[in-house]
Amino acid sequence: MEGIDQDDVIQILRMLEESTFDELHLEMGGLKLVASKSGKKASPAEGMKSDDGESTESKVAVEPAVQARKERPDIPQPSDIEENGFIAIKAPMLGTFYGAPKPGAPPFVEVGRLVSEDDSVCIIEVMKLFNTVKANVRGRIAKIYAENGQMVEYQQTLFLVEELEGTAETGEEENAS
Amino acid sequence: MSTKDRLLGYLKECKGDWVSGELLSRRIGITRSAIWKNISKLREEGYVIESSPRKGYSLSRISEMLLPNEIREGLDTGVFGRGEIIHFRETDSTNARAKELAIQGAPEGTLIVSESQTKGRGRKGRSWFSPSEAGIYASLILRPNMPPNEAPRITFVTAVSAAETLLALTSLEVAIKWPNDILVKNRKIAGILTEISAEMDTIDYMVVGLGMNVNNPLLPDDIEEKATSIFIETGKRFPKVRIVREYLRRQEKYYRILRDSGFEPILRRWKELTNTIGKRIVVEMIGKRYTGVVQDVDQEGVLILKDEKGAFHRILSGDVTFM
Repeated sequence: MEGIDQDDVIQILRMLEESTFDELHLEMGGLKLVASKSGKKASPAEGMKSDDGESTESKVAVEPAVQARKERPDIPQPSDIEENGFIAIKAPMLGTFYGAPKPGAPPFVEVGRLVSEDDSVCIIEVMKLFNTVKANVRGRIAKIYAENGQMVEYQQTLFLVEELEGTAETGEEENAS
Repeated sequence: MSTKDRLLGYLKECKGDWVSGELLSRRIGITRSAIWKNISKLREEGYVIESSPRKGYSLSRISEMLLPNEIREGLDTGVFGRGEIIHFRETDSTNARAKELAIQGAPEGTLIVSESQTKGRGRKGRSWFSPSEAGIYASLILRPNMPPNEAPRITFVTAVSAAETLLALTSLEVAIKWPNDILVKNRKIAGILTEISAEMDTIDYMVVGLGMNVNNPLLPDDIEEKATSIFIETGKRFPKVRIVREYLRRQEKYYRILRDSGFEPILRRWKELTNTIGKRIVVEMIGKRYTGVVQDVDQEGVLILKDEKGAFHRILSGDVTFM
């Protein structure tokens, strides 16, 4: 490989992941890098080729973190609903989403369940660091966006909570921002 | 200092020599029957004290338990273990106790240790074999001033500290398996499990749990192939208290380096200690399984795996098995 090494590729992957773009095509000399978010095969499905023509066939799949939202147009976009008084519970960090305290255990919450501020709603794990996410809002779970074992992005909406009547005046409006 | 502590201090000064009950009674300023009562208390705490009607008493071995006073003796940290150290003979999980204390406001550096755990935990709710007195079960409360998405850096701080502790005190060949298992000859000797409570942009508290097999002579059949202990490797019992002190010292050192100089020096040291880069591995996640070669970890410690088809995967969590 010329002019670009593995560290560069990793760097490029990070930049792609943090960007709002879904795909990246890069050509430098004899090298061609095609990377796509959401696990889709970037088209054309070419890999990383060195100039001696030997293909290392490197399709680069960044974990499908935003897939759920993009590929299900039937689910209303969280931002739309928030305006109608729903409150989003967002991921405080990148990681693996767990809906239950341990495998086989009943989930922390289900659609329709009432939650209050201190109730745990899920766990997010990164590298054996477990973050138990609290609802931070009082209301009824209206929607669950993440699935068990799914990778979620920082700030990705995980749940929508419908504030219940009589609780709106408790001063939690700032959570809707 | 309590009478019992003064008595213990004096017996330690005598370095195993016999001291008559009468002399002890005069030195400590209590009756000989009170001496006897306090000797019994110390024995309950695991100190081995010989007694003879003619010669008196002799301290032949200090307690093998992780008693707060023993941990503090010679501890040269600034914060970690300087405040409260809570010791249990048995508890469900030191992380669970630490979380309770953190919620009640326990400050950074508070240490919870137990001689045994009834519900020692690992990833995915698995248990960590925690028999009485053989291992170290320690949880440290931290309150780092950092956004939650940087919290995983602390697990690398802990892995480096635990690995260096074993390297400093033993002659074992120690390696870190991504992200933070401590291995000796490819068998697990220590594990780290970190839990945090956070808002969107601040960490409320963090609990760093360390489980280490120290004096376990045998491990259950189902983990024998995958686990080991200092005793199994060296044939000698090792004072757990020395390990805890050294671990606290290094944990504090690297925690400060992280705060003052960022993650790069931590990750650099971690890379010197890991055996995972370049290995062929299987990673198992919920509903997913990847096989491939570890290319590297990125600047946040995320594992980069190249699978058999040449595709790269960023691995945030999962069970890693070497092939």
